[in-house]
Amino acid sequence: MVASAAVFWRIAFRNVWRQRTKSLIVGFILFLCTGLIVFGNALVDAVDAGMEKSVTQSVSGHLQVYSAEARDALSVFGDEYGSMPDIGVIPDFAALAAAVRKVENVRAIVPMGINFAMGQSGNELDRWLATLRQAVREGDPARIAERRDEVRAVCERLLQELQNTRDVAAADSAIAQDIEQARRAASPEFWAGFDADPLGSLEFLENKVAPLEAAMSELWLQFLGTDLDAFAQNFDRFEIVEGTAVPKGQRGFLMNHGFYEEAVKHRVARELDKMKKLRAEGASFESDADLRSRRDQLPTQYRRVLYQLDRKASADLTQRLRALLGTPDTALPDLLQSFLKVDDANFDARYAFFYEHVAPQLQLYAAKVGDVIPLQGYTKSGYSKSINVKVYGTFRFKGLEDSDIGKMFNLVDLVTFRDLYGMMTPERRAEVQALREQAGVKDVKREDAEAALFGEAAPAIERQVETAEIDELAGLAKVARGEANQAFDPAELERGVALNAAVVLADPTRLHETKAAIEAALKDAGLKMQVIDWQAASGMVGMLVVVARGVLWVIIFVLLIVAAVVINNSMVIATMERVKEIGTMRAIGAGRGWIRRLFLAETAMLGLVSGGLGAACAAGAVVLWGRVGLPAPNAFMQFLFGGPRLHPWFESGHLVSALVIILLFALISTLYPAALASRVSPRAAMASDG
Amino acid sequence: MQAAGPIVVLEDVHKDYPLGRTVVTAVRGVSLTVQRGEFMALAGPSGSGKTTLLNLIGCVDTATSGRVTVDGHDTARLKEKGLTKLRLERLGFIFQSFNLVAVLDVFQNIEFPLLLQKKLGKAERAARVNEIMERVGLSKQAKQRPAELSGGQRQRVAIARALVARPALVLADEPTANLDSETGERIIDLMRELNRAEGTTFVFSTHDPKIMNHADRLVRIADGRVVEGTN
Repeated sequence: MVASAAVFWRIAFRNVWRQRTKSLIVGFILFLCTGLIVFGNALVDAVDAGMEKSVTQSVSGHLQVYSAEARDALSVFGDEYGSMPDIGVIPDFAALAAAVRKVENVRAIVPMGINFAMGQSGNELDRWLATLRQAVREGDPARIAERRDEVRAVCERLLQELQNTRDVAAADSAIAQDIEQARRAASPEFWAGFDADPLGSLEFLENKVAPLEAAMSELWLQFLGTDLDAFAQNFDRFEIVEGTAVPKGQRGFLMNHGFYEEAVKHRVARELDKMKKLRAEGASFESDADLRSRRDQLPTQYRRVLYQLDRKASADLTQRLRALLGTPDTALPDLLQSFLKVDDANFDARYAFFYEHVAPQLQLYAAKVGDVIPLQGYTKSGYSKSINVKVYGTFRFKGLEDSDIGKMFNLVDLVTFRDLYGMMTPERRAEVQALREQAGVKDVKREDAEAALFGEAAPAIERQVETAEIDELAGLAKVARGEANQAFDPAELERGVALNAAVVLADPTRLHETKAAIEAALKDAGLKMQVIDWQAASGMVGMLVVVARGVLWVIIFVLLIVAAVVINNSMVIATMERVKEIGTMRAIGAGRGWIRRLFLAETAMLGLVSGGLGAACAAGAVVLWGRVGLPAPNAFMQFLFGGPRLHPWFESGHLVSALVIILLFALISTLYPAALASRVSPRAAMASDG
Repeated sequence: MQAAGPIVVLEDVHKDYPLGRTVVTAVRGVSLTVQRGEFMALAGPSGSGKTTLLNLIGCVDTATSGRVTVDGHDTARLKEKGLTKLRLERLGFIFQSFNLVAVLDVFQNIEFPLLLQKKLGKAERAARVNEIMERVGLSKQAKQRPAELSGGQRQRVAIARALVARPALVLADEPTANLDSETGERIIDLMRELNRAEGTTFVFSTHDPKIMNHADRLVRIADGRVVEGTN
């Protein structure tokens, strides 16, 4: 038996060897396929794990719970249109938390809600107007004159910017009106009449002109409302960068540090930072198109510096820039433009100069740690709502500092979130009810509002609001308590409403069984909730790994098809070349099955050798790469890698499955030639060579 | 195991081959009996039907009509597997161009049918192969590959391979055609010697008069018919 097998394999080997070129080609394709299966899957596994870390340790937790009656699927990073899906509400987070906490392997459950808001910091005109009003109040003519000239300069600049906007945008009557207001504010007549009616003029400037500038300094931000203490404890990547955490029981806002640096920081400083970073990564103005485009844009931003300087600072900077640039008679606007013309030779010096002499004169961040910013959001039903909230600090998700998704969310306490979203705790609802009764407000269903207002066929005006948790009047409660009251009872966090809840597990490897256990617990508790894993919760982002694995298998499959065609063709040719030998074997007494097996053995041998080599090389590469780590080329990859480097690991299962797949494919593609060979007649042996 | 009576009986055997749109008749009503232990030559010019007859006797082809009985088996009634078994266990083949497996050495080539049979253990196979190698005078070449041997030596290997499984009948198709006449005669002498010593029946085809003379019995074929030597 052993000898028989030896001869059998010897003949098989001989045939593989005799057709070296063909064997090399087929072997190389099989080598590639096995290598790709082992290496590609190790890579995708590592990305999967990296992404799991990124997603679970930053915002989603391992599981997410939300309403079973949600209209859309929950996607913490937004849907494909970048908007937030309608995921319903968790009416009673305390009940949910109680049910989930009983499940074994649950480390924590954290209430959440995601929404957008417009953050506004007071704009430049507001600041100058405040100083002018102060001067008017004090009645100091010299001071008034000084401040007045500053405000006038800002108005002139505003007019110019609005005109620029109009030139770029299509003709728009709204812009035309804005320009009209700005033109009046910048006109000599207006300022000639200022002293006659300072308060009336100030009112016009504050109410009609300042908002025009405000529209330009809007800051859209996405925020996650949560129990900030629980969040900090359970999301391992969270860490405070500047300032402090929000004290327990206080309303407060934590700004994402990446967002702070990229969206809140002064535009010119931000651009210089970005250029410095790109240059540090090896780009130069000569070689990099992005860098060149930024360089060309930078001088056009000079007004953002100019208009933030008061007279003293302007004079001071003029002197310094004249000295730096060696142009003694040039005015500040031209000096700033020249200064902002950077190149490879002067960049480092200009950057240092900017931070040493210019930045201290500017408001470097539109809102900074310690500021109270108005957050203007929209409630579930579309009402605009605004709340002032203190920025206690900035935070980051460790390892994801540079990735867009790591910079996506700001954090706010859940109570403020609920107010902005128009959701109330039972206590608040009672409070609002009391206010209503005082004010004589009646509950009216929205669809009946018109009838109630206009008295047409409104038989029952007093009605119960159906969605009692959602109430646009919630803001009234806040007004009633007063803006200054930033404290709340920490127990309120548990008692109220949330949109979704993150579940953090003690042992993430038992995700599926814990998910099932939670689902059962929720059912037992009679809660209509659904549970999804982090991958589903991360929406399109979560699909990336699935897509990547899909693409990998498509490539492997295409390679396998090519290999199959080549194997099939070459074996058919081999059959024809070997008709006489096959005939001889058949004549001597080899059965058809024996011939078939011989052909299959040849392919199996080729598959095993080249597949084994491919798998071994790939495994070696995986182990080596696992040690060194593959650096993330950009911020998005950093998110996928779960940090700055990806460390894939070798999984013997992939090796086994790779070899099995390769062998199966090789054998299947040999079935036809093997069948052909087995049909060769033993008569073929008799054919003479001549 | 060994059936009594003639080893081969052909009764009015015809064989037609399709050739394009026409049909070529290679064997026309041949009746022939070969007794056990015979050393018989089928003689005739090229295209006379010798090889076709050998194919029919060797169970590698089937007759269009008539009956072919080999070692007591009506070959028309055997299926593919039965025919393969018959060839493996009762027949031996020697080919004009030797048809050795190039990658196997002399020993392995000779051992090949025994491996296919799977009846003998390693030691028995070795004994059998060594014995037959000695008989054909190839003991010293056991480890050589066919490419390292002369034509005569290769045909000795083929003879040894045909005989190693102790068949009842050895069929040889022009076994000397690719050899010089002296070597050819020595090969025929060897076959003859083995025929006498082992009692194995030999049927070989040839068109060489010198070779024909070595046969016990000569059957001449022309145009697919037996023209001389039938019984």
